[in-house]
Amino acid sequence: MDIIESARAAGLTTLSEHQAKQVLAAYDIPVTDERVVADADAAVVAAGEIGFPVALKASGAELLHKTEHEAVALGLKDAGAVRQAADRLLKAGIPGMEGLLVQQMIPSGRELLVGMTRDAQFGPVVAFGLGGVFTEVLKDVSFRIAPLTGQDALDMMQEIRAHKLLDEFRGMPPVDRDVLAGLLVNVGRLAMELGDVAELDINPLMVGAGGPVAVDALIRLTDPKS
Amino acid sequence: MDSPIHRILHPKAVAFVGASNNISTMGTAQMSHMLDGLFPGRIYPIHLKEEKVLGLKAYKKLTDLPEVPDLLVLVIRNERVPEFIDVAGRMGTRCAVVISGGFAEGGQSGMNLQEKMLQAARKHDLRMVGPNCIGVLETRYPFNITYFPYTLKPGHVGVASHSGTYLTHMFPVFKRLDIGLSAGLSIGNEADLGMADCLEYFEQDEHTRAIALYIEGFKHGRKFFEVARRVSKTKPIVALYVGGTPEGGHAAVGHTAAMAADDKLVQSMFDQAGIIRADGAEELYEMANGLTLMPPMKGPNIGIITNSGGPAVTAADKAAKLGLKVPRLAQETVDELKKVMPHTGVLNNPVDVTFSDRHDLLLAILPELLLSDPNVDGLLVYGIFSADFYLEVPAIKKSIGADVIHSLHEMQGGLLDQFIEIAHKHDKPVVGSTFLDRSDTAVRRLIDGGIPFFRTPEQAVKALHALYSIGRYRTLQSGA
Repeated sequence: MDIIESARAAGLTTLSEHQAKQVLAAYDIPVTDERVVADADAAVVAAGEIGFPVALKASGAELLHKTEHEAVALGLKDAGAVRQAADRLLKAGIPGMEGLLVQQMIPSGRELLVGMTRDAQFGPVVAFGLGGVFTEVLKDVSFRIAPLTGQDALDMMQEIRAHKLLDEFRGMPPVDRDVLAGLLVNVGRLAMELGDVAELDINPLMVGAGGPVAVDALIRLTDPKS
Repeated sequence: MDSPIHRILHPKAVAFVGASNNISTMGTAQMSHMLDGLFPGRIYPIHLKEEKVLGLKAYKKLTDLPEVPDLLVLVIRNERVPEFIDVAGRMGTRCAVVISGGFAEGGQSGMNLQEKMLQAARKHDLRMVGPNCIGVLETRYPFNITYFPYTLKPGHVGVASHSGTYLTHMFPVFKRLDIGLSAGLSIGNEADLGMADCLEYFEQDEHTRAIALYIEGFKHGRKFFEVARRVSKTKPIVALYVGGTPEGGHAAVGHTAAMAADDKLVQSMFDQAGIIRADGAEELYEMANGLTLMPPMKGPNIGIITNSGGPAVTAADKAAKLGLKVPRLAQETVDELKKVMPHTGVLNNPVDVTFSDRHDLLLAILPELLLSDPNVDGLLVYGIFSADFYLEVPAIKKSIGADVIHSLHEMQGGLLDQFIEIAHKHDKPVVGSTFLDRSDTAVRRLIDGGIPFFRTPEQAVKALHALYSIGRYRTLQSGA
């Protein structure tokens, strides 16, 4: 895949959020509508194309855990808010920042985690669980070894303790489990086909009335020396 | 069958290095079992000094043998192993079992030695089990080079174990629980052949109906998973897993990698591969044996027949915890129960005959009724025992007489045969629970008739749950 090859050529071991999402999109995983821009003017233009409200994030291949650097501004409702946030991010001196990512705001829904890692014993492993701020606290995650059958994916969903969250919940319609299973199967396929991807986190995968959308994504590449 | 494991379990000519006439050495004990008059192959002890070992002509070196052995067994000091492998390989031997320890399990020099041994084997296309193991056995050929004699009848459980003890020291347990093996392999360090190869052998072996594994870690985890996933669709696999490698070691930046802790991942792998996880060594074998005898359960609904409340309550409680159901019976079944049950009895599931003297209820009428009920997918029966204990009661023996007790046995015997017939004709699993064992005439007759009996009601329910999991897995993953 070109994105991965150029990252390799540049000596990078992680992809930017935007690059990671392009990889996901190639595997039919729905991602936010978004653009990488260089300055506040371009950010305002991009926001107009995407439609308000938008999110603005610092963008960069080696910029991980963005919230820790206050490199994210959410729910920007108009051009003024976008310009103000863009100015703040550009002046903040965030390490590893290469540009601004203007991103569609997805209405809040269930925040889930979908990921993959490579296990020394079993090879590529797909994970599914609670996302957002609960990921680290509750560790409510299930695993399956890639490639996945559709039934494996359905079993993973049922296996998390909070599986009732996937049913009708707080006025939200139930999650379409077959759609989500298809997404997990695709992550398994990605894991099998893209040997350069060492780790993937989609967190959160927002699942509301409109179906699942990858709101944030992280890809780490394998160590070229190993 | 041309599997290396098959060749290792069915040798025609065995060169055995490490046995002597000193019964306190391991090798001597291990060779001795081949001399029970049943092993159909030829045995060639190799010994530098002795003329004869255990009554057999001994040879000073491998190259003195009158034929090329098809199996080499080594119970010797570790440093000498690579050389013996190399010499045998040059002669044309293609299989070995290396019992000797002091290899990869013990530090860098052992690891180097294992690598040297493996290179010698690869050079000659020689396949091996071990090192650092306690040998292998096959019960029908038969062939046994484990430390202990196998005196049980051949059975249908295939065993592969990282621990020698969990193979050979379980023989008394097998005897107590009436479990027979098809074959067993202590696989040690898995330098060459390992768990996955054993699974592939058991998959093909017509006598193996269920597979029991004791696993301490995964040397070839990916291959194991892929093979197990295929094999479990035709033969149940039960595994006892402990320990394993510590998590981590790689530079994780995301959450997924950090959370893939070892045991949880292994449990997921078991679920994905259709492997039933056992909690303890006795359960491993008791469960595997039960799975050789009964068909998968097609739904989660179990019927319980009992002669007493306590065991039914613990069984129902265990069922609920495991996600099984103890459903209401169909109206037609309840109507029939009203006709046949004693006035003290419970007319729904669990059906409790309340210590009735009506053997025909527990052994024939109720099993037939419940197994015919569409709401019931599998059956647990508690409370079957014979009149044996009367023989221990002097007053009864004296005043009523042993002949009366024997005629009671005969009457019950016919019903036991009916029970066996009913239990096998519905394509629904039937398991028994008893606190007795095969020393009881009735329990023995049912065990010999292919009804698995478990030590507790909870264990019996666990077995039904395993049969349900297997049925569910095969149905849902059939397209995979």
